Amino acid sequence: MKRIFNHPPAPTTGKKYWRSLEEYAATPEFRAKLEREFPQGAAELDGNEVTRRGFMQFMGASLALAGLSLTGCRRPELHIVPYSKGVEWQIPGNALHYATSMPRRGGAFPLIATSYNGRPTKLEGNPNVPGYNGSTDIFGQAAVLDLYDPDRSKSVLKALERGKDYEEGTWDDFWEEFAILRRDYLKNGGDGLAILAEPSTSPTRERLRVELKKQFPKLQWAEYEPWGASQALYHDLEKADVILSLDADFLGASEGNAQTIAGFAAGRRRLGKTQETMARLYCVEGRFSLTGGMADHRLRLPSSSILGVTTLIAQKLGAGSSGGFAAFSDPAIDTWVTEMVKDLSNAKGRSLVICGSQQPPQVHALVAQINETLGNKGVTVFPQFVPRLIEAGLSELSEQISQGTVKTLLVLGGNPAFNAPADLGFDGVLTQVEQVIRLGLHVDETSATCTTHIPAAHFLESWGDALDYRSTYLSQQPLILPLYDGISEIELLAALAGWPKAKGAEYIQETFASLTGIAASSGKPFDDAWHKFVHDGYYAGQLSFPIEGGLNGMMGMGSTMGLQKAADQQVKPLQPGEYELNFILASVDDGRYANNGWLQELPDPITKLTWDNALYVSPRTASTLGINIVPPNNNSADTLDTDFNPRTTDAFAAVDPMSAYPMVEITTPDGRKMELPIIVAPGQHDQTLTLALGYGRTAPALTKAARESVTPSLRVADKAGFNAYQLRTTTTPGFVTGVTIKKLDKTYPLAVTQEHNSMEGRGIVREASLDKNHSDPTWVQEIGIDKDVLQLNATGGVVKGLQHVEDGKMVDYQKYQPVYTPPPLYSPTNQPDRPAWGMVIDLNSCVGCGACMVACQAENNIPIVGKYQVLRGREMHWIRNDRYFASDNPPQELNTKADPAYLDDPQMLIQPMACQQCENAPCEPVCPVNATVHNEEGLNVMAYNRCIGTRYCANNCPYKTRRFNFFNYNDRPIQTVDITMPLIGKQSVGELYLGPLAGKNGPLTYKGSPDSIALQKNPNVTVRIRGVMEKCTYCVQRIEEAKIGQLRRSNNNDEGSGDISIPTDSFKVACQQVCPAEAIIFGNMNDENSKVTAAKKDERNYGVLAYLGTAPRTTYLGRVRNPNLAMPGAQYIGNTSIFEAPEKKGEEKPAGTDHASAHKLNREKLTV
Amino acid sequence: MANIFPKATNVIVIKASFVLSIVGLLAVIAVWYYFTPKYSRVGYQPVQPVAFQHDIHVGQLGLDCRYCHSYVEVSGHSNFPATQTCMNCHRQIQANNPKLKPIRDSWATGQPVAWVKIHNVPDYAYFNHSAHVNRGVSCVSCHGKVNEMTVVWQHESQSMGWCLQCHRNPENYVRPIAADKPGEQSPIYNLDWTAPPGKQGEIGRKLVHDWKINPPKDCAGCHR
Repeated sequence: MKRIFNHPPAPTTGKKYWRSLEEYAATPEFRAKLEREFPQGAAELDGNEVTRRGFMQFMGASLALAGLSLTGCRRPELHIVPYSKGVEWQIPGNALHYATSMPRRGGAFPLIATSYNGRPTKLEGNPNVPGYNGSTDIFGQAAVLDLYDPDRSKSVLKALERGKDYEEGTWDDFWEEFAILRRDYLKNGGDGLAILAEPSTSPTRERLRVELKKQFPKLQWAEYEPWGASQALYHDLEKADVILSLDADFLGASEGNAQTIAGFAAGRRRLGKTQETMARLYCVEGRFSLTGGMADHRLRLPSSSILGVTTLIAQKLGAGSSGGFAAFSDPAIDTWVTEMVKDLSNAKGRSLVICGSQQPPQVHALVAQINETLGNKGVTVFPQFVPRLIEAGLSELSEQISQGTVKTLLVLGGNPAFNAPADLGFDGVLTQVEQVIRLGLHVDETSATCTTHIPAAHFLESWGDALDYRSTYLSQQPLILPLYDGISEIELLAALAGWPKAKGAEYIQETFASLTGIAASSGKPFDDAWHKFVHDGYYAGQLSFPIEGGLNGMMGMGSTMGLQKAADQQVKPLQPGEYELNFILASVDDGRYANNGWLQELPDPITKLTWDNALYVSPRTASTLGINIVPPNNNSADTLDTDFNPRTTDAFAAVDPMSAYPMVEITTPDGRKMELPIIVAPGQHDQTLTLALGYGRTAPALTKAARESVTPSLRVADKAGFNAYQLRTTTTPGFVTGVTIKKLDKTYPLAVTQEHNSMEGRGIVREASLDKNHSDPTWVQEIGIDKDVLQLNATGGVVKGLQHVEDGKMVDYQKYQPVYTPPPLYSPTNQPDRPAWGMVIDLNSCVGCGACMVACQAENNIPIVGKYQVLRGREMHWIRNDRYFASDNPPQELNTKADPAYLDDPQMLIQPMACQQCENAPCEPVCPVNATVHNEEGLNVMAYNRCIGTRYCANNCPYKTRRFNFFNYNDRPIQTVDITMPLIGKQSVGELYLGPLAGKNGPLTYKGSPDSIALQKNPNVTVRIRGVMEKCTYCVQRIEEAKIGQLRRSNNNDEGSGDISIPTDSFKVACQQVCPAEAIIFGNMNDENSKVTAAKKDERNYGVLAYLGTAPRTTYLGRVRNPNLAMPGAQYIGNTSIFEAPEKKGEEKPAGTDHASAHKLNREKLTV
Repeated sequence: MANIFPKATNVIVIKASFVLSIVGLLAVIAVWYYFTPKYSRVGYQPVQPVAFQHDIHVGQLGLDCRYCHSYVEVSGHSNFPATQTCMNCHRQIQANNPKLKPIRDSWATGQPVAWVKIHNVPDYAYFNHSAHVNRGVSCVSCHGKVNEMTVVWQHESQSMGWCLQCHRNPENYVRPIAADKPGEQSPIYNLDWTAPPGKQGEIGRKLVHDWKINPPKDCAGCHR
């Protein structure tokens, strides 16, 4: 019998959970989209991918060629190529693991690299180094792709015509010239020589700097980092009971946040341990960040008001002098601040105040005083040891260049021509220098200003060392010889210092000897210590710092952008009607990862935007600008921006007009203008506009070969987003106030993934307040219709009091026919002697950083698909982070139009969603070829080779977690290229599989996917081609490896234990291993001691859509919020949809303090 | 009007369709067989760059399989020996044999010898040697009596159905790991070892029970 499950109607009162504005407003377009198996257009090949005529020609040519060679009919001769000499430790087929570290601006990050036959394939956190929990973040995960980036700089380039034409030079010539350069500058003490480097915590580089200063006393050493270069503090969030974030997105996916997320999540997990307390988070911010989403109380205020609020807090706390700044005075937020300050003072020594690095030094100084008053210094706040203060920044260097005192400039890494403050005009400044030598990973904007460009080595290709954020000394060892002939910064500086060329780690060994005090001449003690250092990845002993300049424990004065002195940084208060532009860093960081496809395609955690940046504005602001809040929010879909991509211009509009976003022009007070697409972001402050830096890279084609190439110089970063640095100046590094905004009659296509794979909101995410959790521990089971379904089965399907629409009128809800729900075939108890794999995701600690998505991509050979494919809903991520907003249901009459009043201040919930491994999996019975079946351990497995691509399974999956390879993404370009084909001529090729025509042996020299990318693939996972369905497998390759490893150990020559059961929690799946919050728990449910067994017993454990009888193996722990009951609006925090919203009568809350009140005051004034 | 076709043509259609269907069936069977691993793989015996003779090295000289395929017990992949392994002996023995020139060249230049692959498991199947040899599956079960082969050929079809024969009934194939008598070769690597007549079932069932052998029969066991 076909089982029809009519869901009861969603409650019309109380809270509503929604994933996008379309869903909130329930537009007809959204309904139509929801009911489709795939997003519109995903399953169709339209004329824009390739013309029909082109396709026929193409296929004809392919067939003719295939017929000529007849290679397909014969057994191809394959070869096995062993080593000629055995390689130490190397066992073909087995992985080796090496400790190394990734240099970062706030201190290096410890990593363990997995290497197969000499090629690193995966990076994991180093669990031995204290402070990280063995976790990584998105950048650590994606770094391995950067190593194999085919667009990396590959040779020395010498200018024929600076900025325009370059020729390839040789290393020998370069070194010869460099030796002459050194000799000349030795004569005059380095007069006219300058070095521009990125700040680094490498003691070896510091040693070199000191050495160079000795040899060249007049050398100018400048450092520049576009964002938060010298954060002088680090925080221990685990010890904090009350945390206040002042515009600090310490849970966002940016550098240095793995450790803060780990600490914060530990504070939230106290709930699980004691069932009593957990850390409480207050957040004051202008845009809706992940930190704001995790906050128990969130106050929307623009960044420029933070100084005033901080002053107010300092005054209320009596923290030192308030710095002479005017306190923010708004009676509306007075209660909020007063109660929050009370809470902070009650938690003296157990609290923490953090401010964002985009805030001016005045705020940092005030926050330092506040933390001192609260007794947090040395408990939750620690000074980060940096070797010294930066002696010169970009401004100083710029000045000297203008005065003509710099003759030769070495630019080590970075990309100042792209990311320098706009008012310096630094790319122009660079061209004034007679000789600029540039060491860079890519030929980029800065390379175009230099006289010589030399390729840099990736950190996985070079020796190095660095301190991490808590001054742990980390080693950095190469995993592979430089793929593209690059050298490291240390090697270049050592050559300048005249040090003998190192064969290996000599420079680092010398530093190690001096730092640890173990003399290199001591022989064995040194060798042992060194080997332990390299093996463990860090040095556990005490370090001495003989580095000149000593240490500056800069408590408090965490200078923000390293751009200028505190006095220059003006904070102008925001006038009504004015806007403030906030700069943030997104997944490409400051632009350095712009050519990394994994990071470009990683959706922004909140707006779900990929491949671009856009201006985020609040719904109310959008309304004021005359823009529809709900997409399609352009009123002129036919005027798509034609600059974007000639091939796709019409396609976007034809495929999905909802992807056409309106454009606006913003103007800063100093007259800088920029045209940008906008995204309406609920929860944003009305006067705050937010824009991510690092996009809009324009890589030049400098050589003849590059100009003739069919691909752009940076093929991933090309045309991705807009360069926000052109609005950023030395005096406004964090935010600009007084910005004006104007709507343009233009649109721009943005690839936003939010609605793809929507699930209707039926108790999918569940949350409660801490109080509710105490008074009613089983709350999680009473949400949604799980409880109803049980009752329904008992009462014959009639729900009392629930109504739904039938034939246009409301009738009692009784459609549901109770049917027999089969018992799960694969429940753990059915196979007690086998492991039963299961997963629990703790929504209470998950912050939504997205590291699991990148880790899954790296582990499981998941391809990137490109912007155009994402637009059509063909993205391939096996795990996605669903972001839900929660706000009050608007009254019925408003239900079809989004009222900005209800969107002002929603709450946010994040839920990672991958294949749920249902015990009664709906995907299995519909597969005509048994390609997806269950195994005895409860996995819903995919046999890719069996799959014929009917996509019935994806259609039948209630969780929408299956992904289909519409194309062979692993062998296909992500951008359109024009190639010349024999017989056919020039043809524009996009996503088309080039088949035997492409590659080395085909007549086309152009190949879809570069060879170097293939080196990254995990050899234990099949690389899928087109026409195959795929999904999360619980990392079955890791499971099998663990099982086989145990078999090997147990029975080898009858000497083993004979025990073939896998030791408890002895391995981790990729998303679990990376998670800094430890929110993902995976293991054997038939093992009583495993963590997952314990987690499944938690009262907050629930299965998504479990009432369908799917019996998912992945379950969730409900989210608990910890509101301070004395705060305004506290009773609205952590309410779930089943609870009746508290009666709002008789209590007027100040405007802007919560979502439930403001709209009542303002609804009449609004025109939507 | 007279009949154009004589009456006999009525039968011809029936006869022809009968014959054609048989021919068609035979053609299907022939093509079917032609494409099975039994036909297309078994007996594949390519010419190797070096005329290495397993019968001399293993059969006559008694080298253990693991002398050259040294990581078979610890890795999924049973490695081919590095040139270095050959040179261990052939620096002294047959040091000037012209047949060994590719080996000496490889040793001198560092360029590896490109051996021709005989047993090719598709990329989507993950066979693990260590999981088998440590659990009572001998080399001979999949590779045949290599110790008697002058030039190695593929002995078994190694198709999925063939794999499953053993995965479903391991007791018919597994053998003890420990040698019958101290000092003898392990039955796993002794390709001439056979169970006493009629005893395989008994030995196999005991091993399956004692070692808790439960080979995977689901997709994920081999396909990831």
